[in-house]
Amino acid sequence: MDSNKDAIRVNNLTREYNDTTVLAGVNLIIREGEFYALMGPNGSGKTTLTSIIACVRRPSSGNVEIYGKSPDKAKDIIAYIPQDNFSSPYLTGRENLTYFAGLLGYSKKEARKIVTEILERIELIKDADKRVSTYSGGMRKRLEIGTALFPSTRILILDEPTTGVDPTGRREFLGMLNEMCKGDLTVLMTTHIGTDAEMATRVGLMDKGRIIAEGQPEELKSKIGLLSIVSVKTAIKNKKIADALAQFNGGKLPLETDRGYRIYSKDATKATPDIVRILEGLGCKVIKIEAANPTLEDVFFKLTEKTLLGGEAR
Amino acid sequence: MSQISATFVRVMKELLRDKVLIFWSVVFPIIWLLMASFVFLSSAPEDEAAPLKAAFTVSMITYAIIIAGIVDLPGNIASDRSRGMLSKLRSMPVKQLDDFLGRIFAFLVFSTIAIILVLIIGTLLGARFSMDMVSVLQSAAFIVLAILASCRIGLIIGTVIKGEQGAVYTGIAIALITSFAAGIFSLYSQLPSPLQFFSRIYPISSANSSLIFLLVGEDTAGYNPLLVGQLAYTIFSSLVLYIVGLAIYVKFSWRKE
Repeated sequence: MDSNKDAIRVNNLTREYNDTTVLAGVNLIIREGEFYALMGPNGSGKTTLTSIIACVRRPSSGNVEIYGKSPDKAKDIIAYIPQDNFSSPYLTGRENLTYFAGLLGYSKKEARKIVTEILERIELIKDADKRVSTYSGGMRKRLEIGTALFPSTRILILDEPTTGVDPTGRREFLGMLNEMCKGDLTVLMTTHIGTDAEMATRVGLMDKGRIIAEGQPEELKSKIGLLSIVSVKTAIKNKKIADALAQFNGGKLPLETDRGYRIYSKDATKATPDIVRILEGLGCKVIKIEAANPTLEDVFFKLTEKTLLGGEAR
Repeated sequence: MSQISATFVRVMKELLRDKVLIFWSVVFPIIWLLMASFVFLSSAPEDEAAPLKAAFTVSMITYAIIIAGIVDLPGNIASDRSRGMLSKLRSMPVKQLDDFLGRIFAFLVFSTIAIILVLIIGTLLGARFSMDMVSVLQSAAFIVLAILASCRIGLIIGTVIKGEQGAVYTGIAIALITSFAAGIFSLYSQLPSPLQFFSRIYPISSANSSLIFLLVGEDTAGYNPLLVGQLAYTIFSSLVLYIVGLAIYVKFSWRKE
């Protein structure tokens, strides 16, 4: 549910550490109720940007407004979930949430009621009285998201929430996030995983401290003309194969994935048999080849010639 | 529920559920007490052994306070920092002073539990104290001063040393070196004169000597730490430097990077 109100407004934000520029003049507007994903490789400035918005770090210049106020004056409506697991492993899930309820000024009685409601919502009620040290990564992340579910929260800032979480935990977590976004909560999430970012209503691609492209996921994909992609899974990967595939990729080296390559071709159907022939000619066994839909990782690669894991095109 | 009580409850539970911490803060001083009684003082006549056991019990109480303040407190702060809890707290409407007070109260109560246990074991092993009401009240005040002085050092370590392990190891090193140098593990009279001087100016050992003086006697304490100058110095150094520790913690542990 988007409104026309600006929940977060970032104006020409910069941040430097010693001689390194981490944020180079970021401008960003996130409307109330929007789910905004900030996607980029490690070191692109995502965490610095979100931690400045969450009042954890200071900018070198520029400013942030939360509903027109400085973040310092809007702490009561922001819930920031850092990348690290901040919950105490010595406490139970219930005790952790009760601690945060206490910090937010709830009475014992109110805290007990609201914490039980939150535990039900994050589906941890059965494990509520177990110590967090016994939780899986996904359960712990859900518990920490629970600290954002107190009624005062209007803006949720998540820093790489699925990093280090197993696939099941990640699926559970994203499902829960999806449910949370149905209200008027404004969500800002950083990620380097394209499929996570696809859940958002709007995505900002970040590289070298700047937002280099912004829009709805489908809009971003169509904007840069990524219509035809060949995904090829090979038995081996090496420079000779990548060089050979460049001819189908507009003369540029293809995007290397963990299973093979992604080739941005003008006509995937026509290119496929030629790709198989060339690869077999090089003695490389093709395990699977198919025309694929573009992802946000493809968009990022097309714009920066870099993968989201931070590697340059080889 | 106030932020102070929420922090107090959280830190208290963390302290009481950490087995390693319980060992070093409570069990280790008790092991030393047992060793002192059954190994070092086993052949001493009862009238000689009793005051020495009492002095050693007081020293182990001080040692438990030192470990809680100089090792456990910075470990707790550094652990909160390294796992992102301090970042989370910085993003919330949490008052730094409330967080600080909640932590300190937790360490005060935790130290008190350790003190009571060491005291019970010491008494069971034959330590005898002069227990008039005035001495007990004065001793309680010196125990609070020792806790404050230890926490001050712990706050500085926890603020300056960023990693949990680094903070704990630094705390252990400082606790052990200063305890040996200031005569916590021995009698004041056995220390060489430069270390006797250090023992008088180090607020924790000065408080320890005051406790021995009050609860056991001047002969065992080795000097009178309740003379006006020494007493004023002990109180001043413990309180004023505690405020310095508080200021450093509030300013730098919570400072936005």
